[in-house]
Amino acid sequence: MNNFITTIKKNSFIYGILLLFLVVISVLFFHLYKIEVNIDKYDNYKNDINKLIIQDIIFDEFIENKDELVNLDLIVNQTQEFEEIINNLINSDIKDEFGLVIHFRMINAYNLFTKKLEYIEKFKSKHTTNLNSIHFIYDLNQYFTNSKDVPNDIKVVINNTLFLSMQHFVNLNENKDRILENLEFLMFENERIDFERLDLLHAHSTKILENIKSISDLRVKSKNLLLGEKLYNIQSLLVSEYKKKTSQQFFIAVVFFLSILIIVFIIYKEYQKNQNISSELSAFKYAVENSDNSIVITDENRNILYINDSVEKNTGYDKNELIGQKPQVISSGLTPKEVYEDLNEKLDSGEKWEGEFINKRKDGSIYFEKASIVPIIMENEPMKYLAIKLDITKYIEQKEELELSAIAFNNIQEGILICDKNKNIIASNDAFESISGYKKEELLGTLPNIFRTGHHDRIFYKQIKSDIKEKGFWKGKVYDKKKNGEVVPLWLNITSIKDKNGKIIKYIAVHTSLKEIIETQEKADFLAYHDSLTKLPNRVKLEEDLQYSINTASRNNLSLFVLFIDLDRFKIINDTLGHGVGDTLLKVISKRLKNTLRGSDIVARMGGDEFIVVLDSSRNKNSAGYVCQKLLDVIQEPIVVDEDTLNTSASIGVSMYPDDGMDITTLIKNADTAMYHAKKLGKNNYQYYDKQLSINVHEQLKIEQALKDVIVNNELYLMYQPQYVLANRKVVAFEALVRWEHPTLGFISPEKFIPIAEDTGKIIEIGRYVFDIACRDFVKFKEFNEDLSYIAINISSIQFRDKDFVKDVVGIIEKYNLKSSEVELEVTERYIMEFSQNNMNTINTLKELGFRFSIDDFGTGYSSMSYLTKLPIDVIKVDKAFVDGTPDDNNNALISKAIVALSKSLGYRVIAEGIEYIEQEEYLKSLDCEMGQGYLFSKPLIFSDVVKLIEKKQV
Amino acid sequence: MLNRALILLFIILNLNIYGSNITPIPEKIDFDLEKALLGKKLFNDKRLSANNTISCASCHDLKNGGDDNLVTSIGINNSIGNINAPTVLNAVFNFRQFWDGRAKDLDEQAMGPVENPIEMGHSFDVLVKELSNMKYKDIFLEIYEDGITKKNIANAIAEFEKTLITPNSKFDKFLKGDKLAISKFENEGYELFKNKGCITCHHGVNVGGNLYNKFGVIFDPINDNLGRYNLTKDEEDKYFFKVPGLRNIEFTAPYFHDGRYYDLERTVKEMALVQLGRPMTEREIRKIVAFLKTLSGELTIIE
Repeated sequence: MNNFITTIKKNSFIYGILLLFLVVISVLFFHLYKIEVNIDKYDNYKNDINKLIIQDIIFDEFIENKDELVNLDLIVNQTQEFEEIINNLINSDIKDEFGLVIHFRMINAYNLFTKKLEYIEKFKSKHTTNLNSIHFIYDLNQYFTNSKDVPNDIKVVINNTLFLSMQHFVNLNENKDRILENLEFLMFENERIDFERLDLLHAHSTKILENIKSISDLRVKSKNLLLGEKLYNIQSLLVSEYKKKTSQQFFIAVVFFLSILIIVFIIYKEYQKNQNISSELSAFKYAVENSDNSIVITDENRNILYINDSVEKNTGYDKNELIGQKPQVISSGLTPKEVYEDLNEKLDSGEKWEGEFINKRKDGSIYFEKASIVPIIMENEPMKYLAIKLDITKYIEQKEELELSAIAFNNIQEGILICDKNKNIIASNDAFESISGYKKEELLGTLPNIFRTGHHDRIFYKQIKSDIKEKGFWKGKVYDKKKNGEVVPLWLNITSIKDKNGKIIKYIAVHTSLKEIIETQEKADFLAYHDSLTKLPNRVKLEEDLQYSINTASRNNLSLFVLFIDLDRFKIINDTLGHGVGDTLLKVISKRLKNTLRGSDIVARMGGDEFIVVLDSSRNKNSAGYVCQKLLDVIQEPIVVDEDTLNTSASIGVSMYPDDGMDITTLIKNADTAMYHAKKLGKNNYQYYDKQLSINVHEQLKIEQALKDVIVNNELYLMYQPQYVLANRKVVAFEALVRWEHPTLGFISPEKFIPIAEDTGKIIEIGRYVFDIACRDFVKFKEFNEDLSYIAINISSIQFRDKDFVKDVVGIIEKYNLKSSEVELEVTERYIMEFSQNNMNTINTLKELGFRFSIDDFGTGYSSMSYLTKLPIDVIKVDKAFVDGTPDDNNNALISKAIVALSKSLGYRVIAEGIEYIEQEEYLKSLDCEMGQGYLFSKPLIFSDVVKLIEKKQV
Repeated sequence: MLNRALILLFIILNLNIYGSNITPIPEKIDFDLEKALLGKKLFNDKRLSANNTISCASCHDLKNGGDDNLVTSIGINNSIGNINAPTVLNAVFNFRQFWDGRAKDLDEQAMGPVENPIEMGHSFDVLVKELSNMKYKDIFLEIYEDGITKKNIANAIAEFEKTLITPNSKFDKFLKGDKLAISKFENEGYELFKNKGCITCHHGVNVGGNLYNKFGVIFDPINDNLGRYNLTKDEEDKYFFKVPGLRNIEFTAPYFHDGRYYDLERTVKEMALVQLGRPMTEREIRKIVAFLKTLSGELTIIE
């Protein structure tokens, strides 16, 4: 504090010095400025005086002028300018700046000038007059010289007078006396001759003499004024004054500079000192401002003068709200009175006080402060009070919290175990005693591995360890062993407590018994996913399972069928016979559905009388149809409940993944829609969501049904299409084509029924039948035309799978006494690709037996040529698709040309199918295609027409 | 030999005489318009005289040559003046004002007539007070910081008088190169004006007005006004007057300081005799008069 006071004293001394210097500098500067301005003007003054000197010279020259007539305006201008300049100089500040002497001399010069001006004016008058006269006497001379009346002696005198006057005028000679003499003579003569002009000559000449005299007087007077010299002296005086000023200026500048140097030095020294003090002060200030302690300074009347940031933070008051107030504003009233009494007593006696306050924040909350207050004593009087306070609310609260925690710790249901960093148990609560069966005393100091069971392997415990290490906690289900050996499921939550450096110092393990929870959960799970009545999966479970199926099907590119089943008339049963009967019915139906379906199918009850079945992905649309039919059948079986026999039926809607929907909702919705369609169509049936699919499946089933008896009922018949040589249009063979006319379904094309026959396996029987009939008819054809080389018969790939196929075929040709080479087996290109090694063996056997082979529909499949060469093929049939449009269709023309060329190069014969126009035939012929068949030549013909054709040809 | 030297000398002399020393009046002159307009007002204001009967314009009729065409002017209360009123036109070009040159410039001149008891007979002290009660007060204050004062009144009038120049006379045009601006007769007059020696005193921009000279250099014209002597009391200045300018001379009759002649030819004849001391024929005089009339210019009065 003393230090501070001396600093202030020192400072005032320094301020005094600085002020003094400032005054000195200001004075110097002002003086310097004045001189500077004077110097500025000096140039003007000097110039002006210079001008005056020059003008004076001009005046002198003018007065010296002898024979010139000058424009007097010029002289007037000069004199006026001179007067103006000298007046300005007299009235200027020159007397203040360069001294009164100059001023008075200037006035003196002005007086001389007025005198001189007077002489100049007089000179002007006399000079003009003289010029005039001299001019006139010259004229007179001319006049007399030319005059005849004037005697010559007079002429001579006149001439002489003029000459003398001239000389006199230009100051060549002092001729006054001689001129006067001449004039006297002339005047005398004139008395006699009486020339008026001689009088004039006399008058002018005397005037000239007079004027010359006074002009020369003027000149002398003017010169004696010495105006130019005076002006020159004034100028010299000005210059010397100026020089004095500049040297003075230099001196002042030096003093100025030195003063500034001294000031800068003092300021620098002071600055250095202050820098130290201020850095010290700012350190103190920083400490006070940023102290966690609240610091309050009051004046002697205990009004707050200063608070630091901590006070603001602690009280919630703003600085402005507190400064000037008494500290009582933050008093809560909860502090005991005695505390204040003690405080006042201590402070009044000038002592330091320490104690605790309970204070109130701005928001009304209470906080605790530990405070120490010191009076700052100056000159034996307390000037200020300094209070340093610490908010101890947290500490007090923590104490309370700790007490609460202890209560919670011991009363909580969860078993808590606390271990030190070495995992030694250091604390446990009451709940843990009941969970583990161990007493607290038994646990302290032991390791928690005493609870381990054989339920978990070592990896499990390692995982726990590493989780705690990495994440700081682990939670999960464990099985622990109680003291009595009982194993209990527990939810264990282990948390590690770390110190500031991140080192683990404690572990807290919270154990929650799961025994009851697990039992409850299992029951809840089942209830959540199953229908309580039928025990079938419920909608939630269905959706989970269906989603899984969709995912699988999507991955494997498979189809799924979702069946929506709704019982017909169930509501009536429920309403008339009661819910009990309805429930029983539903149970029975559920069982039947389950029994009918495979284990991998899903069946679920959606609620009420609605069921959903999802067929496993191996089914196709037809087999889905079967399943539906089967389900309808089992549902239809009568049900006996108590004594009632119930007849019920169902309507089924089918939707297909992915065609009818890609997600659960759409699939179920569409199946539902299809189901309603089925209801509309009279119940007890099933419908696909895709209408066409419905129709197809139904038609297929009808065809399939009809096919069963097709042979027995003799509904099939054959037609034959001739194959002919393009070159000569000669028929060499026939292709046998099967046809079916059903009594109720009408004509059914082979494209429709052959695939169904293949699906059902009926094709084997049909194939055998067709082969038989074709062979039988061909024998008959041969009777009409021996040139026929063979009969072509289409064979399905299914037939090749038939073990008895070779045997049957051989049997038939033997029966009709046909050579194997007279039979050509037509196989579609697509089927070739399906040939297994087994089929290949069959084909090779038949080939070895001498049968011909041809490939039908060539070009439509994806035959690999290398594969093709391995087959025992004789003929390639170019598909109608490539003959269409030739030769105009460039693509087909090229393809057919390529096929023909390729086949020929491989050594096959070629037959073009589907020739409908003569151009096509011509084109194919040009390609060197050997044979053809098609409408152009002939449609397929029934037996009798074939006979007619052959006969005709023969004829 | 001598003769030759004389001739040479005269050639030099003649060259100088013949060199035209008359310069044209500038078409424009610098002046302060506001001051000049105020001056114009004052110039025409009869309140400048003691009994509100006479203004500057009373004796200086701008439309009539800038003077009053009287022998001597008539002041207040019909008092008769003692000298012929000179024209105000082109007065700015005079080297001194008044016949005796007692005023250095127009400012000084303008102060004269107001307080002259036989002219306006007023006193500036009273006049300043009177004008202060009129709208002049504001006009003056707008132009002069110190408002209405004797000096400022004179200054304003002088500023107006500056504008009274008469450029574009026939002779000025001739000087500027238009050789057809004056007739042959007039041109012969001009040549006589130079050769007879008139030009020695009457030259410069105002064709005179730049020197004093004696009235009656060669012969005494009989005159009772002592001229500059009244001012200087210098014996040598007796009968000396300012040489008047000859611009617009045809409109400024009567002539001389005492207005003794109304006739210009008579006046020229008198001059040739008493000033130049040389006889002239009637024809020569007519020519010179014709020349003098080409000196009349155009006056533009500011608005």
